[in-house]
Order: sequence, then C-alpha cells, then structure tokens
Amino acid sequence: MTTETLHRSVAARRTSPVTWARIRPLVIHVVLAGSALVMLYPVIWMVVSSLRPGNEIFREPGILVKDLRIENYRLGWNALTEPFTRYLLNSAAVVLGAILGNLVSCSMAAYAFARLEFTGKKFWFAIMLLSIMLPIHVVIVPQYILFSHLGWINTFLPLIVPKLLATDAFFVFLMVQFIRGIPRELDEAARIDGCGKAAIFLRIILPLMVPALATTTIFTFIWTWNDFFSQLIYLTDPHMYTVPVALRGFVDSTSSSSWGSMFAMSVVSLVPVFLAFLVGQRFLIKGIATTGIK
Amino acid sequence: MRHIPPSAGRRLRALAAVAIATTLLAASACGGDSGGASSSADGGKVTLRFTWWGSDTRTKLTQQVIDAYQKDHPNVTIKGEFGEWSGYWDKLATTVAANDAPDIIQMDEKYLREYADRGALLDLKKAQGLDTGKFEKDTLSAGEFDGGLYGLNAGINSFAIVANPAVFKAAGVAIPDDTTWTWDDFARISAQISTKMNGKAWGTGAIGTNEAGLNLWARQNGESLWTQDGKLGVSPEKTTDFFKYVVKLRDMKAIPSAEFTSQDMNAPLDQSAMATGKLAMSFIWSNQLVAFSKASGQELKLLRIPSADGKASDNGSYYKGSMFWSISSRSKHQKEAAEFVNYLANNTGAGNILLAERGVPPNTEIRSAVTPKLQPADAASAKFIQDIGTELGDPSPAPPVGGGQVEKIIQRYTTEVLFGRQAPDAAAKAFLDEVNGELK
Repeated sequence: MTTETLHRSVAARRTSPVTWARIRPLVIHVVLAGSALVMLYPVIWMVVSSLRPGNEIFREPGILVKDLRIENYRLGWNALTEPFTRYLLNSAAVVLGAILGNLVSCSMAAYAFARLEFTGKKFWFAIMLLSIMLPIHVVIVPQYILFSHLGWINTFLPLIVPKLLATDAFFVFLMVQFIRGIPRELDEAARIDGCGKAAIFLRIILPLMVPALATTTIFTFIWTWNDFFSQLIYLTDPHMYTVPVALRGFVDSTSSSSWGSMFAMSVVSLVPVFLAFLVGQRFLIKGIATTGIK
Repeated sequence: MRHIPPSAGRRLRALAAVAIATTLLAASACGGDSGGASSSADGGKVTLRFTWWGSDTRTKLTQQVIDAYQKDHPNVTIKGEFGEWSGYWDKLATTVAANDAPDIIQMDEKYLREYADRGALLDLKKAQGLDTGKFEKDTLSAGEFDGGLYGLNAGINSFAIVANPAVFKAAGVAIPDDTTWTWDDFARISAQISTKMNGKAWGTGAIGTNEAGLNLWARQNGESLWTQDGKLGVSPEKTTDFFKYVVKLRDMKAIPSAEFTSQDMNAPLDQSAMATGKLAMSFIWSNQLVAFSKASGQELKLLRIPSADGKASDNGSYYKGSMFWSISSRSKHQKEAAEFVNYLANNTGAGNILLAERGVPPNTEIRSAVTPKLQPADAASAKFIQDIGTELGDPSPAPPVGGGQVEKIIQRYTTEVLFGRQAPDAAAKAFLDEVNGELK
C-alpha cells in the first residue's frame, strides 16, 4: 500500500517535469525567434523601404508593401557621379587586397610568436597586443602625413599596404592562439624528417590552421567592406570612392536626401557581406571555438 | 575594432584640432615654402584641389563650373573633392592637420574662425586677383575678423520664418503682415492656428531650436550672441526673457508638445514637421526654402522675424553667409586659387550655372543677372533677401572658436525648459556657463 502510494506520487511528480521537458524547447524557440525578429526588424524595414516610393518611406511605419516599386534600385544605381558598379568594384579591390595582406602577413607573424624563439619575444608580443587597444584617432593624422609624403593619397595603397605588415594585431593574436593549440610533436616529427622552420610553417602549420585563416578572411572582409572612416580620409576622387563612402553621398543633412535610393543601394551593399557570412559561417564558428577567443 | 561610434566624430575633431595647431606651429618654423612666389609659374600646369560638401545637385552644378573654367584656363586643372556634411569636417580636419589641405575650401560660419585662428586659411584681402568691388555692402563682413578676410561670402542667407499657406488656409487664419508684427502677434496667431487645427497641426515650431533665434532676440535688445572679439555678448537677463518666451509659446499651445518638439529637432529636413505639413510656421534659413518647398510639395512663403516694437527694421536681421570660399594658407598656388574663387564669385557665366544653389549671390550684378532664371522657390528667397536689404541691422560677428557647439547646447536647454525641468532663469544661466566653457 505504502509503496504503491509512493510510486504513484513519484509518478505524479515525474509527469510535470516530463511535460515541461517537452514544452521547454518550444518556449525557447518561440522566445529566440521573437528576439531574432526584433533584431532583424531594422533590416526588414530597410529592405521594405527600398521598395517604396521616396515620399512614403517615413509616412508608413508598417512593413507591408502595398505596391512594389523597384525604381529606387534603378535610380540609385545611377544617381551618383559614377554608376554604383564602380563603387562595388573599388570596394572589392580594397577588400581583396586587405584579405590577401592579412592572410600572408598575420599568419607569418603569428607563427613567429607561437613557435620561434627570439630575443624580446614577450616584449614584442605585449607591444602587439597593446596596438589592438590603440584607437584609430591616435594614429590617423601621423599615418596621413606619412602616406601623403609617399604620394599615396587617393590610391588604394594606404588601405592595403599596411595589411601586408601585419598591422591587424587582432588577427595575429587569433592565429597565435590557434597555432599554440597545434601539438608540437607534429613540428618535431617534421624536423626529424628534415624540415626547416619555413617548411614546417608551409607544410605543417599552414594546412592545419585553415579554420583560423577562414575566420580572418571573413572578418577582414566584413570589416573592410564596412569601414567608412579610413576610406573617407584617403580616397578623395569620386572615381575611387568605395561603397560606404558613396552611400553617404545620398544623405545630406543640410538639404533633402534621397532615402529611397540610399536604402536600395544599402541593400545591394549588404548582399556580399551576407553571402560571405553564409558561406563562411561554418569556418567562423570552428575558428573561434578552437582558438579560445571568446 | 574598425567601427567608429558616432560620438567619435566629435572626439576626432577635437583631436584633429589639436593636431592642426601643432603641425602648423611646426610647419611655420620650417619657413614659408608655400608663399605666392611658387605660383608665378608662367604657362606651367597648375592643379588645384577644391573641396565642398552638399547634395548631388550641388556637385553636378559645381562640376559644370569647373569644366567651364578649365576651358578658359587650359593651364589650370581643378580636382573636385566632395562629400556630405559630417564626413566633410572629419576629412578636412585630418587633411589640414596633415598639411595636405585642399587649395580651395568651402567653409561654414561655424568653423571659419576655428580654422582661421589657427592660421590654416589665407587672408583673402592679400590675395591677388580677387575682386570684391561688386559685393553688396555688409556681405563681406560675415567672413571678416581680426582685420582679415578669411572667408568670401558664397551666398546670402537670412534667418526667417517660413509659412505654409495651406495650413493657414485650413485654419481659416490670414497670413499676417510681417512688416509690422510683434512677438505677441506671433504668439497669438500661432495659438489661434493650433486651436483651430486641434492637434492636426500647430501654429509654429519652437524658437530656441537654433542659436540664430537667440541671436536675433539679443540683437533686438541691443545685444548680440557673439561679440566682435569672439566672446559671448548676450546677458543672462535677455537669455532668461528668451526662454520665458519659449515657455509662453508652450503655455499658449502655439507650439507642439515638448516631446514632439524634441523629436522634431533631430528629424532630417524632409521628415520634419514643417516639411510634412504639421506646422503653419517655422524658423529657417532663407536658402532652405527650396528644400522645404520641395519636401512639403507646397508653395511656402518667407516672413520676416517679428520684432519687439512692430518695426521690421528693428528686428535685428542680418545677412549671413550661407557658406564661404576659403583658400588654404598652405596652398602652393594661392594666386590661381584666388583667381578661381574670383571666377566663382564674380563671373556671370559661373553665376548662371550655380544660380542660387548656395544662397543668393552677394555680388549685386550677378544677382540681377541670375534672378530671372531662378526656380519659383529660389526666386522667392532671392526676393526676400532683396526686400529686407533696407531693414538690416549691423552685421553679426562670426562665432568664435568653440562656438560651433552652441546649436546643440541651446537645443538641449530649450528642451529642458519645454519639459519644465528647468526654470527659464536657471536654464539661461546654465546655458551661458556651458557655452562659455566651450570657448577657448
């Protein structure tokens, strides 16, 4: 009798956790989907606004499009001094240069910090970390003076060449952390087989650090693509403008702005970033999870 | 890491300002390699850099003028650099600090003194080939201080009231005679419109959303927002009166609610309450009439600012430079730069292309040549400028270094007063203290 009641009460107590366990994922998903929708609302609103006639954009708070117009895209593409293709190509050139520069230089610097022994290694590593914390405003004027003396203003060089010198310390740090996770035994085995330092880097380390390289590629892509300030400062000729600089041409706070065209072109400029993330997302998570960077 | 928060722009500007000072000091020690001497290159090719901010329309018109000038002056190449307002100042601060400033700079009143005081701009009185003989009296003084001319007026502006006849009509109120109206009339008429429109529209936007309102208020009372030597010139008493008037407008419901006003202050022009037909009147600069007319789709009208005694000639109005032409003091081709500025200001051909896009031309000959070609809204603002010509007070001194922040500051205190969080006298004192703190 007593055991039976005990059983029953246990069973009763158990049923509520069981139903909870079934409901819980549902609740979590609803909450997550809801938050995602809230987060995405500005983007959705932008996409919708790009499909609206300009004078309706701020009059209609909702996100339902009544009549779909693509004229903003047509107008926006040709509204500035150059067709928008030019700005996309310019941005692409800067981004490609920056990615290549970062991949080559940061991986080499990271290998040196992680595996090689040299005097003052700890000191230089600290300096490198400190340079992550240096705000761009501190260095922009001296850098500008330097580049203007070199005659590089209004070229892509100030945006690309520094990347070849492993100036993006964040990526160096990321790769150092990754290389430290690769077992040293692999290096030693390669050494026994007759590999020098360069060969170890090229044949052992580099193939193993693909996730870190992918992370670097994606971050460099997104950051350079969205970078406004340095591109604004160094590119003066409208033929050289990149997407973020060109986008600002649609808005002028002292007169009326063509919001429709700006939203349309913003959507266009988001597409590459979105694609890059979609393709690279797998590597991105892998790269971050394995490098210990939170 | 890469992203610069919005507030960073200000920090950067402050930082760059420091850098301007230091580099200029350093540069001047190295001796002036940049004087007019090197510009005597006879027949040699000269490349000038010319920078401006503004809309796409302005860019197209300006480029046409450049093309026309290059056709007449085959030895001169002019490279246009342009951008929108906020990026423009970050970029200019950096290039000037790095001693790589463009030769010809479109300058704003807010920053004119700041750059000139640090020696970044050329005294145009000393520039060869620049003639200001045809300029209307008083239009030069806006860019003139400490005995030098650092910015040449590129277009005249005046602070004014813009009225939307459609809202007046809907409220059944007649547009008042702006040559005789007083601040009391203004408040009464606005309140009347608000009552009639019953929440669909209001009589006027708040005064105090722009420092020019306070400046005119001060000028009507024998003071001035800034003094000639770059200090605050308005007394706490008059500022208190000004904020009391703001409160009066609020209590009479002549202006929309405090929430509405504070939102409207930050709205872009084409979304502002005036442009969307929610206000019968608002305070604007006369050259904005075109943009407001376009945004609202109405034929808006400019009215004079009310005065204390009902005499328009006592309302303290003045011609402001909507923007200025400045030449870099480090330019290697000062003579050619001055000649180009002269062309912009005094050539009928250039005037016919630019029309009144940068404001009504200060050169009276150009103005009369251009007036028949203007679009209705431009013509209306040109006519307004012409009409008030006989009623003007003394020119208003350019804001001192640090004075560029005053618009944001007065907006904040006006908001405080409107919400009833600060009494007018407390707000006046705090406002003046804060502005004084910004001045160096």
